[in-house]
Amino acid sequence: MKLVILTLAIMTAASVQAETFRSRVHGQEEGFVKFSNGRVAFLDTRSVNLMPADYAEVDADDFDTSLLSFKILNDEKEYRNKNLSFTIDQEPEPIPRSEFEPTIVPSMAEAMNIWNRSNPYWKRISECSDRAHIWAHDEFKRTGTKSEKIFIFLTASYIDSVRFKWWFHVAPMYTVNDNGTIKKLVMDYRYTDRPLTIKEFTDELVFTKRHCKVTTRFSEYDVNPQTENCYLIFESMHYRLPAELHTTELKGLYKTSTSEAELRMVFNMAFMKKARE
Amino acid sequence: MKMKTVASSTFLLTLALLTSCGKSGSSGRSGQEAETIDHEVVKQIDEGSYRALLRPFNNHLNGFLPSGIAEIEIREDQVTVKTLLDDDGRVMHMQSIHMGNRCPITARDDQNGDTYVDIKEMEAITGAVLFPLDGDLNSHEEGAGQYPMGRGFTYIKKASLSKLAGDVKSRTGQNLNLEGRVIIIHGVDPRTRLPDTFATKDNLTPQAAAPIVCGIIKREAP
Repeated sequence: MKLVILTLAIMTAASVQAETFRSRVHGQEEGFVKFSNGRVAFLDTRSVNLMPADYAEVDADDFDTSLLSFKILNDEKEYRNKNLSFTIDQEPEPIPRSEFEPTIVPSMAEAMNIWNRSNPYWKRISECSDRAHIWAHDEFKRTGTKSEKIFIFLTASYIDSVRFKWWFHVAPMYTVNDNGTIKKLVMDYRYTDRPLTIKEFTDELVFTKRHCKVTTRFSEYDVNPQTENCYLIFESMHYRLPAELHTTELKGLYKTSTSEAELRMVFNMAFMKKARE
Repeated sequence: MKMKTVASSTFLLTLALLTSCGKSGSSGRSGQEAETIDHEVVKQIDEGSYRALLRPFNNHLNGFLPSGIAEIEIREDQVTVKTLLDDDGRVMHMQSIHMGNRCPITARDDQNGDTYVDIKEMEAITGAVLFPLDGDLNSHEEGAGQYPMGRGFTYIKKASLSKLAGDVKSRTGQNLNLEGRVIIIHGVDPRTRLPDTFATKDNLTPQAAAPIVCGIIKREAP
């Protein structure tokens, strides 16, 4: 990899313990940077110039995730996000959903079977988007059950108020017939010990317990009104990353399938090989 | 039961030390011994592979969701315990296996309404410590207070099944019976702000005592 154009040491106190991770920059908010792996790092954003195209190696303080230093790594082969900044001056029109319809799981018992079949052999360093993708597609391959993804996006004001360390999270979501009542259940097998309703799931991440605004537009989150704590986007099991939601919004192109090559790549990033069925 | 206390030792295990092994005893005890009724609990066959997924509770302690995995292997007289934790606090993480069989649910098990499940509220659900995962699994006294430290750590310890089970039996009156037991890991950064109602015990700071992940042990293979 062609390395290092710029190194900026923001703080070099020897006693500070740092966590290091590499990720592309998703965008910058006042007071922190959002990375494509979902993490945030707090800093005085007036003093640095990290752009959405940048791929960076980041040292962040263990305790409060303040940015200690970063290096920008350049690689022509790296996929580069387009600038994800938006401005809107009126309530956006909802974008039409794709034709995708999730399968209705016939009972809570069957929902628990799906839960119990989830692959528990994830890699320690793996992304929620990759784990969710494999869990959803493993079940689709096994039983033909089509699920959705639930994306939760935390706003800048919420992240800043509780010093939350992620700006988005994603998990598979199933539609379940619970004795005649149709429910949506989120199956985040790494972080929760059972399938959760949407509100239970958001409460795990939104400590204010406020409801998250449901939207179909990633840009509605990305302009980040300070009045909300969080946004939810529901999409088909084929969506893995926020950037894909963005592409759908910008171009009206829906992701309606997932290739075996993508699944192989994602599996290798997120799970240990020995557990592959 | 007298719990080993963190205050009893200032020696923290480093990752290198964590890979060291305790002595493996040779009492000849086999995990295949006959089942016995003890304290109204049928003794499980010990030998086998066990695994627990360690999931977060008290999520709002510091804005990060820790998680981990525990794996226990028992073959003949040797017990190997491995725990992995991914957290963001470079602190000592007290860890132990408890007598109970349920993990706390913050919304349900917070008894004093401060929105957290502290160590006392936790033990009301998980039961008392069966044995700590500390510096020496063979002994109640040796290795007391020695726990892994780090933001992300791997802890590996080996012990004699007969010594471990004997120690547990003498202190608690319980059989090992790992399947269904609960594993808890504690510890957040000392700068974490906690309410005055956040209970602690054994001279631990509230931050050191704060439980962060829990998992139920399942038998994976005989």
